[in-house]
Order: sequence, then C-alpha cells, then structure tokens
Amino acid sequence: MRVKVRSMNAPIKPPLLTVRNLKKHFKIKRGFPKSVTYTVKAVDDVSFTINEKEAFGLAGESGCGKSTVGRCILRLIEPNSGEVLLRDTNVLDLEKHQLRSMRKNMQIIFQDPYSSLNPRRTIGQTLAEPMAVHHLYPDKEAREVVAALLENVGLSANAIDKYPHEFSGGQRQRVGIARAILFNPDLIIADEAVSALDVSIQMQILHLLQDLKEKHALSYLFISHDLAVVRHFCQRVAIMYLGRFVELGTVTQIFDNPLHPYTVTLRNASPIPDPSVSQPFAQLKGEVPSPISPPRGCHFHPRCAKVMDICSSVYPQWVDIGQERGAACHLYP
Amino acid sequence: MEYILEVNNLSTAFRLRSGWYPATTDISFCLKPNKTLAVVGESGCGKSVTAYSLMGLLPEHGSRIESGTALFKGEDLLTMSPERLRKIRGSAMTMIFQEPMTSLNPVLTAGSQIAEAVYYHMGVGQAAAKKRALELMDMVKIPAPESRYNDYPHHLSGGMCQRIMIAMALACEPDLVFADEPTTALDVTIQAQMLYLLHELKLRQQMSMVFITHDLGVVAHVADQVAVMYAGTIVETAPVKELFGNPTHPYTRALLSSIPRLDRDNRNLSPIQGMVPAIDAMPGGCRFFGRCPRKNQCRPDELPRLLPLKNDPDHLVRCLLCE
Repeated sequence: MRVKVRSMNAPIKPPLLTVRNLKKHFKIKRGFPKSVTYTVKAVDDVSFTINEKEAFGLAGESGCGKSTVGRCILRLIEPNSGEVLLRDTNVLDLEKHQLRSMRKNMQIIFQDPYSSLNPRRTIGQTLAEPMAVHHLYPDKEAREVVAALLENVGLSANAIDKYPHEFSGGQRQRVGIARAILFNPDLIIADEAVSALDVSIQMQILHLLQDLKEKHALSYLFISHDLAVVRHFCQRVAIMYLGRFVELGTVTQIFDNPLHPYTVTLRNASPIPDPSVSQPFAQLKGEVPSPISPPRGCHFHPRCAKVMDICSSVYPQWVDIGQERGAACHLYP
Repeated sequence: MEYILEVNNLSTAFRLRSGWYPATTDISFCLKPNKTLAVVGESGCGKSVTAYSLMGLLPEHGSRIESGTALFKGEDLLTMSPERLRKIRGSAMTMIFQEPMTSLNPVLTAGSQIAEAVYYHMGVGQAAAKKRALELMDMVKIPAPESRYNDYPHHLSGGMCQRIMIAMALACEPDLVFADEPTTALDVTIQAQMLYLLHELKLRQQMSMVFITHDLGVVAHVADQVAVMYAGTIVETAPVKELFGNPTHPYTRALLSSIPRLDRDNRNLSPIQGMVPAIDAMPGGCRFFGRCPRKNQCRPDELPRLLPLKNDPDHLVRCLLCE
C-alpha cells in the first residue's frame, strides 16, 4: 500500500544529509581550589534530514546548541555519538585524510566576518590556500579561479590583492562565502552568517546565498537566532532549546501555527516591524536555565504557559505529527 | 513647557589622522514629556554619537561639537558648566548603556552600583541609599533583591545585568533617559521582557525616553515618535504609525522593504544596493544619493533640509524630491 502511494508521486530522492541521534556532551570544570566536573549536554539526541537544494533552518536562543550541531556535522567538534550521513557516507567513520576530502562537499560560513579572515594575508592568498591543500589547480590558474570566484560573489576581481581590513563587514562576508563555495560543495553550513551585518547589507547577503543556491544546486543548514530571516530564507526549520529539538516543520507551519509552547514563546517575543500589530510581551517570564543543570523533565516546563504535572518529571517523546512535522511536548501524545 | 528636550542643528566632528570629519550633521528633534523617541539607523550612522554628545560623554580629545543647541528643560546642555552637567547627569538625565555585561563595574557589587547613584545625587546616607537600591531592584523585578545585592556582575545573567543597569538609570527618578541599544545583546525572550519592563516603568515614573536601536521591530513597539538616521543626518522623522504607514524618504522606504517579517511570507524583499559612505568620503549633498533608486531625478550637490511635508507638519523629511 505504502509503496503504491509513493509511486504515484515523483520518485522520492534520498536526503542529502541525514543526522541521527547526534550527541555532544562537554565536560567542564567549575570551582576553586576543589573543582567539580559537570557535563553540559550541548547537543542531546538530535535527528533530522536535509534534502537536496533545501535550506534547513536551525533556530533558538544563545546557548541552545545550534552552532554545536553545525560543527559536529563537519567534525570541527567531535560528537560523542550518533550518525551523520552525507548521501551514503557516514562522516563520523571517516579517517583523517578521507575527512579532508569529504570536506570539499561540506563547507561552513562563519558568523563574524571580522575575526574569521586572517588579517595578514591578502584575500587571494586566503582563497588560494584550500586549493593548494587539495592540489586542485596549479598556482597560475589558481589566481584566475579566485578572480572568477570573487566576481561570482559580487566583489571586483582587484579585491584579490587587498587585505581584510580594507573591506566592510558585508564585503568580508562575501569573501567568506567565496571560500565556502570554492569546491562547489553540496552542503553549506551558514552559522549566523548574516547576524553581524546591518539590515540593508543582510538582505544583500541573503540574496547572494539564494542565487548561489539556485546556480549551484546547494543545500544549506542555516543557523540563526532571527526567526524572520529563517522564515524568509528556509523551507523547513527546527527549533532548539537546551540541546534538544522541540519542534520541526516547514516554516509556514512552524511560524503560522506553532505547536510547542516554546515556539509560541519565541514567535511572540520576536518584534514585528509594524506598530499596528500588538504583541503580548507581558506574558513572557523566566530566563533560559543554565545548560549545566537543565530542569528535570521537559527543559521548558518552568517557563511554559501550558505546564502540566507530567512535564516536571518526564521528558516528552518526539512525536511525528503529519508529514514532515514533529514536536516533543506532552500536549501532543 | 512644551518640550523636555529640544535639539537644534547639532553637528559633531571626529578627528581622524587627516583632519576633522563630520560625525553628525544638523541633528534637530524635539521630545515631549512622557514620550519615547526612537532613533533608528544602521551602525555608524551617528545615533549613539548624538546621545553621547547630549550627555556630554564624547571624549574630550578627538571629538568636538561644531554647532547647535540642546535645551533640556530650558537649559542648554552644550554650553552648561561641567559642574552643572554633572549634577543633572545621573539624576535628571540618565543613560542605559549597550552591553550590560561590559558596562557594569566588575569589581563592585551590583547593588552598590545602584546605591552609588542614589548616594551622590539624592543627598542621603549609605543606609538609606542601600534601602532605595533594594526597592529599585524589586521594581525592575530582580527576584530576592537582598541576596542579589551583594552579587558581582559576573554572577548575573545578561538579562539580570540589564535590569541592574535600568535600576541605576531610574534610581533618581529621571525626567529623561537615553537608552542606547538596551536590548541588542539579549536573546529575544529576554528582550521582550525588557521592553515590557521599560514600558511599565515609563508609565509609572513619568519619564521621557530617547531609545536608540537598529531594530525596526523594536521601534514599532516602543516608540511614539521615530527619527531615522542615515550617515550622520536625520533623514525622516514622524509619529510611529505615520512612519510605518507612510514612509516617505527613499532610504526609509528601502529599509522597510528590505526587512523580512515573521508573521507572513516574504516574497518581494529587495536589498538596498551599495554601502554607507565612509566618514572621510561623505558626499557634500544628500548622503543617500549614491544608493537612491530615484537619483536620476535628483541633484547630487545640495544637502536637502529637514522639512515638514505639505499636508502633515509632524512628518519631516530630508529629501529634495519629497518637499
């Protein structure tokens, strides 16, 4: 029966990236002179997929573990357990040299364009280095490739001999993007890629990312705390709170009809640039608890407007609700 | 007294290696008692410089006020004696700074930093100052103020630090508060709580506020009046509903059509092309000319004045095409 339903639709492509039960627990020491070791569950049992040519958003407040997810996928941080499949390859099983060549397919754009470029190197040197590492082009050609690349991201080719300090934040972010698309990757992890930029520049960069996505059939893991930007840029989004996903779905589902009380809270707290929309700021309470000792049961229950007895003792199971949608909340058994 | 703060033609300049360059040019605005003026603009547009020059907090070397007057309850802040300014500043006119974690003194307890302002400005003893500080901590909704009083800033979260900053600013029941990006460093749920707190306190304390921010979403919720700044000038000022409902300056229009909204699908967003001019390469005429979609109909050599629209004297625009 199931097979029949599928065959009626277009053939379903396997996802580009599959993340299953990803976990990263950091050990930290606190106290002096006698220190105590605590475990911070930065990422705790996170699973999702990203389809080909999809922008998948990852949203949440600072410290919720969204950047750690991105870094674990690239193995910039080694996760404790879980699976990360890029098509059929399990990234977490790769040896060091295999990992290096795999990273051609997965790249990252960092948040802060001021600190992520080496100030002592010209843009050309910075961009040519990965090509030399991967023995991709001879040095002479490399220069031409870099020049073409810079034009591709909306910079002039003479930027090649300039240093990072000669550029504005938006231009530096373009250099960061040029570096990320150097090898024509399948997946780009954009870690707060537009958060440090002014609004007028932010939209320029989002348009550039969108153009590149269509031109090169890219997929994005788009990490951001700005829900409006996520809604604009992504197709699906996961909302994270203290290391876990609380809700996942298409952007329209999540932001027009949120199920999890935390998603509702986040949405209501994001100011909408329209004075005729009144927002219930008065109802919000509490702060994000320390990830060292998250509340028992559902992590959100002390701040939740719909808290029930069970919430303080049992962490809710992840429940699939309809197609492509899920939430972890006792309201949805 | 119609206005609590009346700024006319304020211009400031900064010294770079090669000379003096204008940081803000011809800033004029008026603020009625118990109202909030939101000053909005991108980084480097001069919104903080404006607040700092009115508070007398610009560095003595490397910056100067070129011209203008700023009447606070009838007294000119710019020509006032330093002694008089010191009396007003921190009591009748205060400031909430950006980045609460770095603006508090790390070697003093949170409570004592609030009490300090009370002690110096209200002429009371240490014990009374402490009592007042505890009241203030309760007022900004810090749970268990007695036990928090002796905490150092590093013990507190960003939101708690910002509450301390707000308590400091409100300690002497000011008439005017400058809030310089008070919620920018905070998460959205904490930001919403802060905005609500400021709103409540404003109603209770009868104060006026100049709220500096780059976030148009925040502007829509806190402001009575809005001033949009671009490259050191105010390009448009209007009551909040009028500004969002009828944006007139090409920059304001472009800005509003380049920000995504959470409550609906965003189809036709268009970025503003180009970049803000650098301080040492400021055009002599309209600052927005190079990026303006209507520049073909305009002249580049003339700096337009901030003039009211024909049919609405409360809506002022600095544009040759919008007069």
